[in-house]
This record gives sequence, structure tokens and C-alpha cells, in this order.
Amino acid sequence: MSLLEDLALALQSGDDTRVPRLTADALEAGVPPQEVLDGGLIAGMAVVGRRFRDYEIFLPDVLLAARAMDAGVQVLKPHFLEGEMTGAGTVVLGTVRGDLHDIGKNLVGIMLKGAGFKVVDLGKNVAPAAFIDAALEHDAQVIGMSALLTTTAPMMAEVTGLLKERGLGSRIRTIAGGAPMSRELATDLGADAYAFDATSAVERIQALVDAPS
Amino acid sequence: MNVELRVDDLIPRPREVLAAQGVPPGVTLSPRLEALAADALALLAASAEPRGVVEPISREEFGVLLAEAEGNAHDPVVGWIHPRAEGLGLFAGTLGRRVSDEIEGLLAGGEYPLAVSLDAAASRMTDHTSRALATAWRERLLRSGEADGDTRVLGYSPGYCGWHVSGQRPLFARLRPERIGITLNDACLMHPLKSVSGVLVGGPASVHRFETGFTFCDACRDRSCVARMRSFDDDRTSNGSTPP
Repeated sequence: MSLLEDLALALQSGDDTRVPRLTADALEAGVPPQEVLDGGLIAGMAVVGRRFRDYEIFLPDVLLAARAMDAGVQVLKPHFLEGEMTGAGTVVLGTVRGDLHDIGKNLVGIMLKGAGFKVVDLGKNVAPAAFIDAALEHDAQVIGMSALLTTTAPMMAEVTGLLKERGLGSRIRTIAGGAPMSRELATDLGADAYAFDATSAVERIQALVDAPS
Repeated sequence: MNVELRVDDLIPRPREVLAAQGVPPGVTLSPRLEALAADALALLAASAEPRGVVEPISREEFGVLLAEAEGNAHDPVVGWIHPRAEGLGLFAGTLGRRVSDEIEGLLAGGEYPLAVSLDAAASRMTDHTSRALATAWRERLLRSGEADGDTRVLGYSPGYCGWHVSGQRPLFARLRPERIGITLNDACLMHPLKSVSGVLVGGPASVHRFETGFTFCDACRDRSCVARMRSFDDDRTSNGSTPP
């Protein structure tokens, strides 16, 4: 078995002791950092994502794998120049103003990182303009908004409205998620996409990034 | 009345914690998952400070309080149920701030698996807190002669079943859960997050039964009402309270 295959397997089993060690071994053996990232860590997380989608493994397994991936990425980081590790794209995430629920949003962030995205997590109770400012600052392709309450979900319309007002609607796409959300409501609030859960959020965001602006 | 709540009585089982994260019953667990659930429960036991309060309210007063919520469905479930109740009590319960602080700290430190497990465990414990408050309310109704052995107590909360979340405002104005450390923000969100509030409705099982054909049922992802109603048939050893 190759070092990268071994690394991908260690990641799939959520072994956050072996993953950083195997990452370092691969680098020491002369494997280019990008190859270690793509062929070891991201490849391993892709298998984790597929198995999760197919109900072969469960959320805690995914989170253990994500933590192991983080440990591997920490080893890789010094081998990349600043900004070089953007990978699949950049996403700004946050729970909208007035809402303090963020576990779902955090899960989306973890899954996105596992899929190779750079995630700028603004946390909770995020003002509409802060989403847009962060997206511009980090050159993000997508803004992900989360809300758990029917009272806070409408705040998403302020974000999408502001984007439109500033002529950024085609450059920065938006996705909405959270308990009160539905495809119809997301559309009504001006979002480009809706995600039912963290797994579908990654798929929808990938589609938004891939779609021509 | 303040209700005495003990951590040991409310702590969920490891399988509940995993079930709350989508792990089906019967699945063989890896040692890592077992350890994760055990760690989360140990942390929960060390950080939870459960507190609860229940106060009686008449049917008429509750009708007024319910109507004060902005944006209720025209047919909220509790609006249909409460006029037939034997005893109504506004309730609130919380696990306290430390649990939320622990979850946030773990997330900030990249300990996602434990953070999410603790969050799931705390959510289950919040449900158990509701159940403990329902049990306490039923005992009070029995003592006062307002209920008999067939009385079931269920909780109904703003934000569910057609009762708009803005119903939290009149509920808080009346119950004052601030005295047990729960506050409400402008969006009607409770803080600490692991808190629960609503009305406890006592009455025979028939009071709580309804067809899930209300205007808002189509959009509901929860459907726990069905399990709650089914528990009347399944639970032969029930003490008469069912988790809200």
C-alpha cells in the first residue's frame, strides 16, 4: 500500500495520531504537498463523505475524520504559500443576525473543509453587511447563511438584497439552510440555493462554485 | 414553583446521544464512538446545572397569552387542546450556561466530535428536563385533586405546532424565567441555548390526541407529535408524563 493510500485509510478511521505522522512521512519521502493534500487527505475525506451519504457510517465518524484531517492539514500548512491552499473554493459562513444557533452551521464548515474548501466562519449573530464584507475580503465565491428560527430566517433577505444592491449577485452566490428553511423559502429570501443538511450543503456549494457566473 | 432537578436523573444514555447524531439502534459501535459518547456524558454531568420552574395559569389566561403571539397559525394545536385541559402550567427549564460554554470552547479548539456529541447529549438532557417538569406538574395536579391517575401531561412550546415563537414574549413576561437564568433576545431566542419553555397541559390522553392535518403539518420535519401520541398506547408503565 502506498503512503498516500495509508494516509487516506488512517483518515477514514479518524485516527488523529497516525494522520499527522503519515502526512509528515509522505512529505519526508518527497511527495509534493499538493499531492499529499489531494491524494491523501481530500481523497480520504471523499470516501468518508460517500460512506456517510450511503449510511455506512454516521456523523460522529465524519467528525472524527474531520479532526484527523485538521491534524494533517496543520502539518501541511507550512509547505504552502499564504493563500495557496484555497483548493475547491472559498465560502463565508455565518448564522444570521439575531440567531445564536450554530451547531448546524459548524457542521457545514467542517464538511466543507473536508471537501477542500477554505471556510471563513463569521460565527453567529452576523450582520448582513458583515457577510458581504468578508466575502469581498476573502474573495469568496459563496456565502452560506444559517438560521434556526422563523423570526431570524428573513434576515437572509437582507443579505441577498444587499448583494443585489451592490451589484454582486452574480459574483457571490448564496445558500440558505436551517430548520425553518425550505427550497421555496430560500428562493423567496433571494438565495441561489438551499441545503437540507450538511452533506447536501457541500454538494450545492460545489455546484454554485462550478456554475458559470 | 421551582422544581428541584438532579443531574443524575436527567443524564441521557450513551445510545441516546449517538441516536441524536443519526446512529441507528443496533449498530455495532467502534471503540472510538463508544469513548466519544462516554466522554460527552462525563462532560455534561460535570457542567450541567439544571433548573426549572412551573407556574399555574388558568385556561382563560392562557387563551389570552396565546393570542398575544404575533404570527400564530389560525389553528395552533395548543389553541385547540388547552380549553379541554384539567390543569395548565407555564414552564421553563435550562441546563445553565456552562454547558454552552463547554460546547463553544470545544468547537473553538477544533474538538468537533466531542463538541457535537456534547451538544447532542445536552439536547437530549433538555428533553429530559421537560419530562421531569411535566412529571412534577402532574404530581402537583394529583395532590391538588385537579387530576387523577389517567391524567397525562404534555408540553407545548412556542415555535412548534402553529404557536409562533413570538409567543415566548408573553410567556416570559408572565413566568419570569430570568429567575432561573434564562433570558430572551429580540428574536425570541432563549439564552442559554439549552433551555426549554412552554405550557404543560394536563388531561386524559384524549385531550392530547389530534390528526396531523393542520395547516403547518406539511412543512414540519419533526413529527415527534406522532410518537408522543403513540406513547399513550405503548407505555404501560408510564407515570403519565410524556416528554414535550
